[in-house]
Amino acid sequence: MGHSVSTRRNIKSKGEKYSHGDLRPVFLPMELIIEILNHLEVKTLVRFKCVSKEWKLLIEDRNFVRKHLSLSPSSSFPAVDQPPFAALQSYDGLILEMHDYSGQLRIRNPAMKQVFYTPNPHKNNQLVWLGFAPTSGFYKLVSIYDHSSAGNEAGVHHIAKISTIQSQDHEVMSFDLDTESFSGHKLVSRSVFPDGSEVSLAYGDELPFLVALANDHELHILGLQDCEEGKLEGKKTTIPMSFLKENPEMRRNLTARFISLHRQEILSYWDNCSEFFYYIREERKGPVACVGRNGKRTSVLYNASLVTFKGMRPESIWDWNLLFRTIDMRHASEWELLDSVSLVPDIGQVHTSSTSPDCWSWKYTGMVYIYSVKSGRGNFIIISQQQLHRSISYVWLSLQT
Amino acid sequence: MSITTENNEKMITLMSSDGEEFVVEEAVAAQSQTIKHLIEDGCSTEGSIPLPNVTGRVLSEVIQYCKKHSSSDDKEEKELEAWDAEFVKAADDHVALTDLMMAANFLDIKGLLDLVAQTLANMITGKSPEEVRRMWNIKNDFTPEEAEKVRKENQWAFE
Repeated sequence: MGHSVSTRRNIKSKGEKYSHGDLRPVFLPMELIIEILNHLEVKTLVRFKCVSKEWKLLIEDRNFVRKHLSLSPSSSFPAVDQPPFAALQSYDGLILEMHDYSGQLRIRNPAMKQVFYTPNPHKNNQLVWLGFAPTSGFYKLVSIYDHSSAGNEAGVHHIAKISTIQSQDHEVMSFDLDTESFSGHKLVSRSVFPDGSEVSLAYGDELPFLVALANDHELHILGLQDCEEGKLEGKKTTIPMSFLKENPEMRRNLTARFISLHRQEILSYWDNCSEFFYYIREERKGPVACVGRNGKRTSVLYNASLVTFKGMRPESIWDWNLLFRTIDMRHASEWELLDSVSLVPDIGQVHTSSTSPDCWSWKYTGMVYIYSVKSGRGNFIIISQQQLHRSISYVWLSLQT
Repeated sequence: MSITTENNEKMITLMSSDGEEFVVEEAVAAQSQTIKHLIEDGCSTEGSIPLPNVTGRVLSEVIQYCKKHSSSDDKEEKELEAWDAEFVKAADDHVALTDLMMAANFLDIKGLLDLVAQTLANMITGKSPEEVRRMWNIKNDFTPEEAEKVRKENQWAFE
């Protein structure tokens, strides 16, 4: 780079007009105030709601909340922050927690000190997952339950269910949080994955993957290009996992949870408790910082946020007595059945030919019940849909931001 | 007006609101998207580019920043960060930083805007709402009742 030339003409001494630190009126337009507030921590922002009406409106504005969230740095949050509740998931600054003994679920924003106790999920609940439906701006808690013991996996934006049907093909479905419907019904030919391999779902940087452990020490992965269309990548990727040769006991119950081809690593867990990274390039395992000595999860990845939704209450008003009373009340009569009309007509009707009694039947046209909270402790709707036959069922909770 | 240096760098003349002229390399000036577009539109061929929203004092600071950032490559990231930290420290107080931020916004220099925004954010982090109002002449438009209610709802953030 050549030397730079800068000539100043009409040179005045610095600060001739205004000395630094003077008290002349300084005005900053709102668009620039937003730029500054984007960089502030949640607690400071909450305090600054007291500055003016405009500031308060801005800090509570949904677009601002999302922008602030997108800039929020990742940190680690203790998995057991308020025992006996333990974190199941961290999403957009919200922690989904479950009570150790009662199974009571709650969604908490620790940075905002707000909490929401959810209704109990279905009895045969296999998995609950908190996600965001971007079009409606709702957070939704999805609970998947099944009448059979088949495994389910759920995802951030879409929930996919994979089952082995009679023909031994694999069936993939997506659950769209915005439309609350299943789509992308897709049969993946059995020939894609080797004989006898169990197929599951893992999440990735961009795409979710179908994953199968094959030939005892290889991970076969196939990207789901389009969840709605159920479109799969044309080519399968094979990842050697040589450690399985030395540790054959790990072949059972090994699950790939998150695959990042970008970072060349796989977050895996074994036997549901011990979690590790697998580095694809180096072909080696590595520890996950958030898992303690006993193999239990000690922390979750967390981004502090301003996210709240209607029905959330300050943490401080909850104490144990109140909590247990709440559960009792709900079992009694707090949840009032309002109506039994179909709110979402023809929710993702998906059928497979059921030529054999062992085939799965996918029907989503059962009864739809709408419940609302009687005591005014929230403005959300729970919709539960019950189906005939052995099929997947779901309950969801829409949480209005 | 077109001046070139021995290195054949094209030079651009910028004029501040108070009539100060700055002759800088085009590559330095083009750190500002606003100026870059003006150059592309041919506004720099005759005389200097007038910048009616930026005083000479602020413009000289902005040029310092642009010079540093146009002559550094990615490998010097650490050094550049240290330089940025010193640069905003020299800006001294929120009045100077506010001026700088307005200029960075008008001139559309993303890096500088982010740098100043972060610095001002750090500056106000420990402050009370009253102090923030005083900094930018913001009117407290809450009625006493409303103010008390908002304060009460968010009391924990004051502790």
